[in-house]
Amino acid sequence: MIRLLKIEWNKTYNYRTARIFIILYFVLLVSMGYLVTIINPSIDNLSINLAQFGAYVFPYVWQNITFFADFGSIFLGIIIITSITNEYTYRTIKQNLIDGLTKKEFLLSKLLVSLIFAILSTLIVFFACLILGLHYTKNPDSIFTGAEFILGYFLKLSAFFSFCTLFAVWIRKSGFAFMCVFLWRLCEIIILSIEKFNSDSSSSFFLSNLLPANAATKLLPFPNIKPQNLLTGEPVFSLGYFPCEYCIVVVAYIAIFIILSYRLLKKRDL
Amino acid sequence: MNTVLEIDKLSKHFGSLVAVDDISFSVEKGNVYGLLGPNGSGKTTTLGMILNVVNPTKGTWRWFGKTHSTDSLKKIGAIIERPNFYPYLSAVKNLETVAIIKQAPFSRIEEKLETVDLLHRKDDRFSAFSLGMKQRLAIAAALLNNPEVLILDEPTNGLDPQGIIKIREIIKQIASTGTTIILASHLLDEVEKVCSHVVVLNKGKSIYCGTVENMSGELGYFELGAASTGELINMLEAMPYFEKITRMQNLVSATLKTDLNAEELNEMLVKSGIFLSHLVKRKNNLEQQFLNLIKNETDDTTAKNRME
Repeated sequence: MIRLLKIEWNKTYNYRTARIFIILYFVLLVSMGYLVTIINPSIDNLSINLAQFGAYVFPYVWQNITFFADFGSIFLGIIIITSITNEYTYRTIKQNLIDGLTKKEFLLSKLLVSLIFAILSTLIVFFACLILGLHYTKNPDSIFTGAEFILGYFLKLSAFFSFCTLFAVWIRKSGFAFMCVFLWRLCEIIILSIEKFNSDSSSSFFLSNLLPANAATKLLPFPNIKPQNLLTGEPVFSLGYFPCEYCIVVVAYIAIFIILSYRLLKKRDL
Repeated sequence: MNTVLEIDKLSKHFGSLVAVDDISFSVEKGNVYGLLGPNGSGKTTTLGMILNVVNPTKGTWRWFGKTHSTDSLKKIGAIIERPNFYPYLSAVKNLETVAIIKQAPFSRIEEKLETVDLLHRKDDRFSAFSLGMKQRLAIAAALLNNPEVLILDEPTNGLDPQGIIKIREIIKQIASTGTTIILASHLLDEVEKVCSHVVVLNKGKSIYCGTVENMSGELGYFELGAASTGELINMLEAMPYFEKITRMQNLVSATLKTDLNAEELNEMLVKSGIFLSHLVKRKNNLEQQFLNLIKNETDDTTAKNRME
């Protein structure tokens, strides 16, 4: 395990572009906790102070921050895809295998890096939420209500990374792999929209939500905002429902992506 | 157990193309083997299979008498086709990665860089290296685990004469330490200069495996000259030793059918009143032997096809 990490560290960290990307990502993620408190988006010249709206108050902070932090995962997706496709472009995967690395170890070393990225991001986001929440909540009684969104964030990152791994192993060209990941996402959105459009308004379950990217998106729902509550003085935010059943779907997808990547790697000649 | 590698009926099909067809041969410890064959004869595919990067269609192989595992790969050093490294990493960082994979100590890195004469460029990026330097770095990487077998695929391909000489010197130096070497090449004189044994592949089949000397299986030929060439030819034709006698300008070439040394021939001719002005016994060089082998093989196939 340590050996595999050392190999990846040597390959990735000494690669300047990857190093800059990784550092930039984590700096952004850490500073996000501070940045969200000073950025006030304006709608119709009306400046909105999210903090005043209670965006960072327990328990809503868990849902709101994880939702926005998720956008950064695209950075790491790029790094994961290039770190695999580079091995094909430079044909170093072939040399690695000749030198005595097994195909399983090769895939494992890439997955380990993804896992570390996901764990680090989750920890940072967890502490950012905790600090923001403690700072803005007047009477914090149930701090960890809604903290299950942290689990959702971790699972969504893991699913995205293993999805990227599969496409990188499959397509072997970074540009194409990235485009395919993006197109896939787009297709799922379109399929979901079509299904929604064709079904009656009362139904709340859509079959296309079981597709990988849609299922992962369900784990981090869009923050529930009711601006009209401002007038009545009620809380603007409300806590969304965390879909445990989708956790199982996403975990299953992660397993499928990893198994497929391994089978592709195993079957192909280099 | 002195057999380093046994290959048994190994085949590889790419769709309808048969790249390697039922190859069997073995490699003995301490020898330098040349894997000879024209481009596209299946050399690299064969090496790919025994190094676990190409999945065989059928057949088996054994390294060091054991069924293949990645542990046996750790006793092997190999370069296939061209040097593959991370272009953005320095020579040392690249070798560090290889050392971790092979579980070899980092302390050997400088030693091996010294062997291939690259120590002064150790902190330069791989992408800044010339082809010769890249090839030498690949050899250094292959040597990191002090391998029992070194496999080199076309190591001098695309190099300038100086680079070729340098690589050959390195190979000879490594061979002198008792390391078994398998050298794939289509350059015959390279194989002749470095190897003691050859395996000849053609169209995915192995058509010869053995020492360089025994390769042709032929006894050689005489080059003869005498005052009267006509008389000489008549005399030779009367003898039972030759299968082919040809006239080349003022010399005669006589290919042997049964073994005969030069003194015996000279004595017989003197007794019959022919005095030679020129007498040499020769064997075909590797290039001619190789071409003969390939030609025979092709003739056989054509003959078979005709019969069908």
